[in-house]
Amino acid sequence: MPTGGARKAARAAADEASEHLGRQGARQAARKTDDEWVHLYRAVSPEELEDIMKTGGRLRAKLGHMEGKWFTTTPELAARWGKKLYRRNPYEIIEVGVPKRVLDRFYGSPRLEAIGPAYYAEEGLLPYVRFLRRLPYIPWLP
Amino acid sequence: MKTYLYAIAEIHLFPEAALRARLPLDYTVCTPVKFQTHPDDFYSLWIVPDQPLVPCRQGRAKVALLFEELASRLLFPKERFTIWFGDKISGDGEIIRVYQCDLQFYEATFHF
Repeated sequence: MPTGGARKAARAAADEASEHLGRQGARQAARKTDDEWVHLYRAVSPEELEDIMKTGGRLRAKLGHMEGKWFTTTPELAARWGKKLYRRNPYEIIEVGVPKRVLDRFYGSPRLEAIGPAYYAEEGLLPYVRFLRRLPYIPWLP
Repeated sequence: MKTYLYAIAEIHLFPEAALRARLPLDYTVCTPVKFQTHPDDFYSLWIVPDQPLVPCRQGRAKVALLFEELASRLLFPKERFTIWFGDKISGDGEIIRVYQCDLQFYEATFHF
């Protein structure tokens, strides 16, 4: 039969184990939240793409431009804006990943131009935007 | 020959504009606006300042719709609009006069 001291030690061990499990659970929950990434798309000029590649995948505001960037939810929508913005000039479509919890801090317009959703990341949020790839194609638009 | 619409607009930037764009605005932007007659949607508007635009002062700019096919519906004299830099209303404006132009002028004027 455990003595008073042993009971105390057992309770302390149980408390520690419980706390450890709690911490582990919290870490797992945090990791789960972190793992929720949303993919967004943006039409960029060759110069912007070059800047992204040069900086190891960082998107940054350009001097003399708006201090933030717009993104949309599909390559097709990005192509629609790209076609309008760059007209006959070349452009590329990039795919980026944004943690869901960060995307919640973007400004969202559900129907920009009455065609589709767009998200605006101000300069302070751009470091959270992870460049994933340049799309090897531009969706065909009728 | 296909013609394009653009307009001269009076632009008035709010002090908050400085939080979202480098001022004075002496460069071309393409930013969402809300028109008084279509308050439910945002439309991207090219804004090409005729002179550097600073907060709290009226200035003129050439403006055109990014989706130029919507221009006849949205650009007309006295139409007012709010200018949004990101998530903030950063200014407002009013269409003064609407012009027709050819593709060459349109492309040369409204681009980054």
